[in-house]
Amino acid sequence: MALKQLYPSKFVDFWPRLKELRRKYAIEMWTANEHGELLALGGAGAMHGVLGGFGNYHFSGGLGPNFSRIVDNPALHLRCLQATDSAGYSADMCATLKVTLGAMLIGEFDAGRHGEKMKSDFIWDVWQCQAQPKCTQLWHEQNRHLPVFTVEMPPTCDDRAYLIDQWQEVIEGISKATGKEYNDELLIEAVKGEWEVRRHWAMICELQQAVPAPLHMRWIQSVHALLNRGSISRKENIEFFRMALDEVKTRVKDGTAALAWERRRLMHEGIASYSYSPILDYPNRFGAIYVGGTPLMLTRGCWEVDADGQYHVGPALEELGLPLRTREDAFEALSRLYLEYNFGPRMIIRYHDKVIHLPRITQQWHGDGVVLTCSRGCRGQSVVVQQAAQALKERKIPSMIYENSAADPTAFDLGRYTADMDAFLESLGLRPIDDYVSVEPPDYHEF
Amino acid sequence: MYSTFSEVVAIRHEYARQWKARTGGKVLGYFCTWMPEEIFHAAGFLPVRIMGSHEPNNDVVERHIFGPWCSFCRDCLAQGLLGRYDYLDAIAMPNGCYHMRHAFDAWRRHIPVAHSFYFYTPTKIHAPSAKAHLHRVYASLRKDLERAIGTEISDEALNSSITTYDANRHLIAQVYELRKGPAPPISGLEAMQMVLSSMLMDKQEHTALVQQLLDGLPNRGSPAAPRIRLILIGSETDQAELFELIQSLGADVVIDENCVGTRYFWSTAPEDGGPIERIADRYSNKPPCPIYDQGEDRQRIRFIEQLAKEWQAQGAILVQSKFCDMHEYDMPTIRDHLAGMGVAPIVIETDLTVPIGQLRTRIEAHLEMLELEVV
Repeated sequence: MALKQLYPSKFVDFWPRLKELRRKYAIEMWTANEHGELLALGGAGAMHGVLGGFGNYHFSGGLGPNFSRIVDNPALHLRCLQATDSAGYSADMCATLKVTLGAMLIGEFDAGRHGEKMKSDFIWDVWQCQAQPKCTQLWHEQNRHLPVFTVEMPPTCDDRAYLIDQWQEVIEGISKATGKEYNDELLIEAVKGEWEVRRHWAMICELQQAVPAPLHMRWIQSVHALLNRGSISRKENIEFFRMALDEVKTRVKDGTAALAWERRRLMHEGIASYSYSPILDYPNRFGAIYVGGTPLMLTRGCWEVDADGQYHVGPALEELGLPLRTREDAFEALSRLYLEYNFGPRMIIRYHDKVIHLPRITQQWHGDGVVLTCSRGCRGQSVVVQQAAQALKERKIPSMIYENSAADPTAFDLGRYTADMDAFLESLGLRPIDDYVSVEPPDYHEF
Repeated sequence: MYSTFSEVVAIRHEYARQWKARTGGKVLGYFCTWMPEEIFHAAGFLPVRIMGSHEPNNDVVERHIFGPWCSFCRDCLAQGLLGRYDYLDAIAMPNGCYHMRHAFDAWRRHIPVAHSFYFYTPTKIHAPSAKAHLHRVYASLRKDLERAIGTEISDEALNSSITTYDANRHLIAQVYELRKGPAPPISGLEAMQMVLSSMLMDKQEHTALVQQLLDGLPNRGSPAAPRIRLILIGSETDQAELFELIQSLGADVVIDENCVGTRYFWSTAPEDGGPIERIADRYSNKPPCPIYDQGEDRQRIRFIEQLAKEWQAQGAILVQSKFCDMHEYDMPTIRDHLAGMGVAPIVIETDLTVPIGQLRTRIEAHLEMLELEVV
């Protein structure tokens, strides 16, 4: 069916700079030892501001320095999964962390393309989801020479004292283990930088409420990767987010769409498959676009909710009038950023919160429907899926659930996904567009 | 109404209803052994552990929790949805695992209950910062409870509850000590039901029942020594059929590391400190389950090693509840450690119902192999 394009559309101008920065940070991570900078091996979501007091530091976390390479290589990906299976771990453990563990077991975790080995200084992890600490234990058993420093993320501001006490323990331990001194002035600068970056991120996500949506969710995900780096508060990162925000504001002002045919707007809940990330583009061919989702937008942002349940970008640090003279001041500010103005941890620790946030976010972002993943390899995101779908139904918001495992391609059936999506999109009044063309450049899927 | 632990287990709901009628008190259902029962007991509640019934329940629970998630949490929620816990005045959740947290949240959404309490138990429970935080959490919980019931919970009431609970723990521990002998005077099944019934009834009444057991042991005659002594490791392993199967094969569980066993009653409150701190320290120091065993030093392994040695376990049955990922993370390490100690392990997987035929084949083969080595 030929369908009229409703909006002007083009790809984002900030893309080359984004790729440049991601490549730069990856190279710096691999050369951290040469520059005498700290390198932490870690999990999915670390509190980078806390380690800002050590100066430039690098984090091979997220999911390890080779994760992208592994999931891009089906044979290697399967080898990693099978290595974990062979070691006796179950099929339904966190799939993402299973790949990482498997990579460690077969020596691919920290191996460079030319045989070099990345040398981490310590293991650094933040626990929000319960799989993370168990995997930290297993990683430590594969890397016994590395000291382990962890922080447990509590759910609410009432637990701030616990968070801060852990930070004090951790930085003392890292200082002792690495011989690096902790500098409170650097910490203060890191807190200011991270606060600003998180606010900018939230503002970018907030602009997704515009019709048409200025960005596709996949583009936002790529930007999101910069939030999970030791470099989050660096000047170049801050400048990038300012630039990206300006561009998105311009796109909104000009009515430039991510999808020229935007007729329906969807939220995506949960992590889509790492191996089949183009599935997030699938609805485009029908005139539907993923504009965001709660885990993507509300984690690592700076948000607040008003009395009417409306989401707004959280205040700037200066507006709060918090003193920032000492380490204690900085930790107090950072704890508020992570606990008061960030909803991510709560949605994993308290599922109840997700059931509340999801329908509200969908309505505020003018979503016409929600696609939820029931990921067998991620309980943190998926155990609440049925309750979330019920909450959406109560508000008459259409939804569908598809099964997958973000990091286990054998648990995802592409044919079934597309069949289910076809039916769901049809129920929203959509048909495939004959003359659909993507605005993304040819090298969009390459790093 | 009951004279044995197994009878209490069988009539648990009727017991709770009659307790309410008898005492005028309130009953609180909880979802995890990290529950500081003493605080609720001091507030006048009867805390009872919500457990499943091991019956098929997809028709009631699938729309709330999908099939590939923990069968135990689904089973617990199913009991609530089926109205079997309609006598509860409150429910409480001390954080615990994400499956049980979700069952708790789904319960609150769909099953009417007057009060619900959620409080955060730090999972880094052995760290100094976590212990200090637990003091704060319990102090705050006490205030929330006082607001809910409309009266103050005195330090005297808390100390009295600690005494009551610790007395029960001491007595259960005495019974467990007797199982170190070559011919344990009670079976693994009876020991499990003794601990399970402790979670389901008034503590003082249960203590009286345990004392009755201890007093009656000399009259029981000499039981036969099991051919193979086993340690059973798992989560909420309350399936009587499993214990009966093991006994029918001539072996028995002489010690355990699970939530319906040592993990429930092991460790008591320290003598010093205010009551909230004493309760918090008791829970900080109790043997951890996988969720609370987060450090590099693997406290579970050390505890299992101690139990296996002291109770002279010759083999181990590791019960993996299907889709319980927390236990799945620990299983290979525990299995390998036990094998290294010479306590040959077998890992069996259980689901909502117990596949007795399959388990018989596997356990029988394992015991035959063990017999060749030890007998």
